[in-house]
Amino acid sequence: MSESSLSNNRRVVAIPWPIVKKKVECAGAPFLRYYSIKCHGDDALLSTSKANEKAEEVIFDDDVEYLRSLDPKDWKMQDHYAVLGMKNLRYKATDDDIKRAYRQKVLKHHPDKRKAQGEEVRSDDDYFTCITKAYETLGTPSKRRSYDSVDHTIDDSIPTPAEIKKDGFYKAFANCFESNARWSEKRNVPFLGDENSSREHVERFYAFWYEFESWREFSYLDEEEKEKGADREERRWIEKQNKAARAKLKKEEMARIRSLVDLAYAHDPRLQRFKQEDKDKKLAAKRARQDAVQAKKAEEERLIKEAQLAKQKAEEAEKARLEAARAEREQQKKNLRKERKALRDLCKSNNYYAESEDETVANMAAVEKICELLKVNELQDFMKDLESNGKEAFLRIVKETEDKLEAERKAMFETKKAEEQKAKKDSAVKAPIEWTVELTQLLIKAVNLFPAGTNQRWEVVANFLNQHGVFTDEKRFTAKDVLNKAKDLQSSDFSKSNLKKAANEEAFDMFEKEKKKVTNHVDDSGISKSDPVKMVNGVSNSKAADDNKPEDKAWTKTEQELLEQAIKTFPVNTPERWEKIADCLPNRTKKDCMKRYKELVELVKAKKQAANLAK
Amino acid sequence: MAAAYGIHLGNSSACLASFNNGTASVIANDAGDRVTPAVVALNGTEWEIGLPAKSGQPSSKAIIKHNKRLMNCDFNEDDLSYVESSSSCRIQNDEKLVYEFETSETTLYSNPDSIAMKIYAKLFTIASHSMSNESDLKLVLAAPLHWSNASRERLVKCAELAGFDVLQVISEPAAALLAYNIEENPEDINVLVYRLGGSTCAASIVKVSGGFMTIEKNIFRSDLGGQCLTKDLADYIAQEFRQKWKLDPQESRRAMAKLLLHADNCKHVLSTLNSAHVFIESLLDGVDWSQNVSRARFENIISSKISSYIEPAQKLVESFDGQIHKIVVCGGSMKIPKLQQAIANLIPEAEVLSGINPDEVIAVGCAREAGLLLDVPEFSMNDLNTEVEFLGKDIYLKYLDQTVQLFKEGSPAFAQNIQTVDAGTDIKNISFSLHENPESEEFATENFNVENLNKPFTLKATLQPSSVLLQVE
Repeated sequence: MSESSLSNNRRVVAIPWPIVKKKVECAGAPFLRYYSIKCHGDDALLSTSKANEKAEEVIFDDDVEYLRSLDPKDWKMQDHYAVLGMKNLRYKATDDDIKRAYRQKVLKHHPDKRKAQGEEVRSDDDYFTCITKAYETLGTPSKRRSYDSVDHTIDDSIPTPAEIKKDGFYKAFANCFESNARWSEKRNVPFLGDENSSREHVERFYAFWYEFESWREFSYLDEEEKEKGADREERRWIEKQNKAARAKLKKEEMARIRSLVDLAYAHDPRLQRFKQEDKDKKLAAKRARQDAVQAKKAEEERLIKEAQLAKQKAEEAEKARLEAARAEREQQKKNLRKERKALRDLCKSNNYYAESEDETVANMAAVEKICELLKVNELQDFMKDLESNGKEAFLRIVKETEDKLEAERKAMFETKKAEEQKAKKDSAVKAPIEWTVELTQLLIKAVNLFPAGTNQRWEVVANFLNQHGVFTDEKRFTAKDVLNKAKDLQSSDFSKSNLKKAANEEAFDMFEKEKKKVTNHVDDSGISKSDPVKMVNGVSNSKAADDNKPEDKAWTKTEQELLEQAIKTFPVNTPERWEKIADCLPNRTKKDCMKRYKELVELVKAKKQAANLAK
Repeated sequence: MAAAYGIHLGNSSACLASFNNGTASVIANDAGDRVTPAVVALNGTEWEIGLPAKSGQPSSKAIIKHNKRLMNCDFNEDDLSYVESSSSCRIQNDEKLVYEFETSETTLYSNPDSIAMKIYAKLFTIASHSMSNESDLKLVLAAPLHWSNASRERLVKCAELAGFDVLQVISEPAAALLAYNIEENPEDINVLVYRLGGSTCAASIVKVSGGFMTIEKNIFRSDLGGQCLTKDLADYIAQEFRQKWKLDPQESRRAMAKLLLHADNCKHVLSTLNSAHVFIESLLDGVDWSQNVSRARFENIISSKISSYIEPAQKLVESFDGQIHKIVVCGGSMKIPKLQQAIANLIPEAEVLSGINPDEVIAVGCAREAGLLLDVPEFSMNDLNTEVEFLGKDIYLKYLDQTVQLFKEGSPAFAQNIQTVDAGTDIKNISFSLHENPESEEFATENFNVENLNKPFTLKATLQPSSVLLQVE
């Protein structure tokens, strides 16, 4: 049994036996009561049933003086509830109440009744009209609503901040919300609640009031009645005016409710508390998160430190090991030196086991070699051997050393050779393909054929080259080769233009060569069987192309220079001048030289003529 | 202000009731009938719903009857053939159920949902005409117990398409009980709800305790209905006609349809009056027929069937061990006095409730539920029933020298008991102890300081799912 006390006058007692669960139909008042308590925590049906309970007879007050003071013509301004004697009931009066009140009034104040009692009644403006009008207004639901909407007793005020401060939030707002709740289209307006209201309740309360739908309307305040209009146009005009006025008032009303709710929302201590709670919660969460992060960081740092420590240790160990190794090496060296010295000394003392001077020198050299070659323990063994066997041992060891050295040299030579061969092979394999003129041309063509943007352009270009190019060996282009070459061609303007120009210039020669080949084939007694053109100077090349004579060999630059020199050395009057000139040019005949000279003279003449014309 | 309505849409007829000023009442349709036949017919291009569809010429039109059977998501082949035979249209049942009509120009298609929607729309117009001002029409529907959630949702969807704002769907037996306010009965009682409609029959035993209704047993029969009685009456009239004129109306479909219609009217009249006059113009070959049928005659005709009609109820009662205190009859066929009598004879000690027209009971119950729901904000409950916590044993309260029973066994959660404690004006502390029964030891004792309270003060005890809340004020 557990119990907990909530406050002084609220206690919760646990029931010590299990509850029974049963399936029930979701209908009927008891179920709905259960449902509304379970889901909303409040008892909606209880409040309404309470309202139904009060059905006792109400005595309506009867103020004859007031009734007499009324002006039937001004019925619109009268207080209908007061007329029917329900001053205090007002909007809380049920339809039934109104009906009963009216009946009572009729029984008492009907003109016929009063006449019978001997009272004087003016037939045209009797106050009974006011009673009928009041009932007409209050008895019709729509008219009652419009009257209720503008009832003069309505308190439309909104608590001021000063009031809130003075009375406290709940007191200041509770009545205000309660009085405004009756305008709601929906029933069961949530109450403001108190300090202990649940968060859910508070949220529901504000959600309801921010979505508040009021049935309040202001048709009762209409300046003119539609029915009074003389004709349709006028009536329409009146209707329009009224509508605008009503809309304005309704807007004001909505703004009023809104400002009330806003005010309450701003001042609600519960909301502030919830906000604070939220904030605290968030803060706590944040702190927890920070703590976690910090813990993680600390852990990480610890790990790093540990790792560093371990590393340091390892380093130290390594250092020590190295130190030890070094010391050992030193020791070994020392030993070696010692042993060597001992050997040398021993050899020296034994006069190098030599008989002659020459032998002494040779043995000395051998000893040095041995010293270099042998290790400490070998030296020691050797020393022992030497001490016991003397010269025999010395000679043997010398021979062994010689053999060893020889073997080493051989091995070294072998490896070197092998390496060389390998390198050769490699270079043979790796050697890039020669970019011949044809291939370059082909490349240019391919590059133009497959413009930038082609899918896998360089592979395609490489394939193209591989397919169309003429190759002597197995080597083929890769995309990379092609790309490099293309870049090369493009990279510097100079090389580009140069190469391109060269390629272009050679184009014709190529063409010619092809042609020549063909003619050679056709005609065996071809006039010229000389080598195909080599590197050709620009001018003469074009000349040769113009002449289009197969026997006409192009003049190289050196030939040209030689010719000019020869012409200068052998003046015009030299006997057998052209023979001499021809002698100076190894590959040219006299005829060639003369022809070339004539050409040059004509060229110079033409130039001069052109210059004169230009002048 | 929202208006609350209840609708019971049956196989053969639909009824609309509204809730006003604490009472539920049935709204008559535009023909002045309190019940609208659930028949939809296509006449040319115009849809007819209700009486015109039922009484029109059957040969020239596409008529759909018993649409409700196909509103159930898991109907069977029998239902399908039943609806097809009673309606005059073809039904295709490939993936979805489709009614096929042939009009003079084209073939039209429709489905049970849209037919149900048309009936609801008809009722919606009736409801909105009955209202003085415009507002939402809140509605509670009734559905048979054996229907699945999906079927109920279909029903709700149709009603919402028709314009209603559906608050809840309750079960038919629960609605019948609500109509008579039986759930407010303070004692625990068992109620037999017997519904005999036009073509279906359902019997349920509902246990009412502390205002909560629990369905104990339920039987549903789809082969039993008042239409067989109409058929018998029509056969009888046909026989009379044959004897006199040597003409057999049963040979003509048209004549038979006319006869059935009049027999149906006659049957309804005989439920309230002692004799009914049947006049059929040009029944067959231009021959009119006029006849008086007395209630005794009618009861004689159906007497052989009565035992089979109350058989489901009999079976149910026999299988139920416990006393049945009340019987609620509903469904159009239960208007027949002879049947009411037969069911009353089944359980002589039980009280038969028939103050409300049996064919309106369920609609009235729905309307009442709708009225109650108006006061419950944000109600959302899709199930017909749910689990509620009840107290397992009695709880007694002892204070000073008094002992009172605080909560009875079986009290639901959130029950309240308010005690006025008159302990003199000068008392400062008071202790209350709770007991399982007056003799046993207390299981809890609480002390309250009541010094500052107005005397005599009240003790408010609220039962919570597993505890009791005590408050002094």
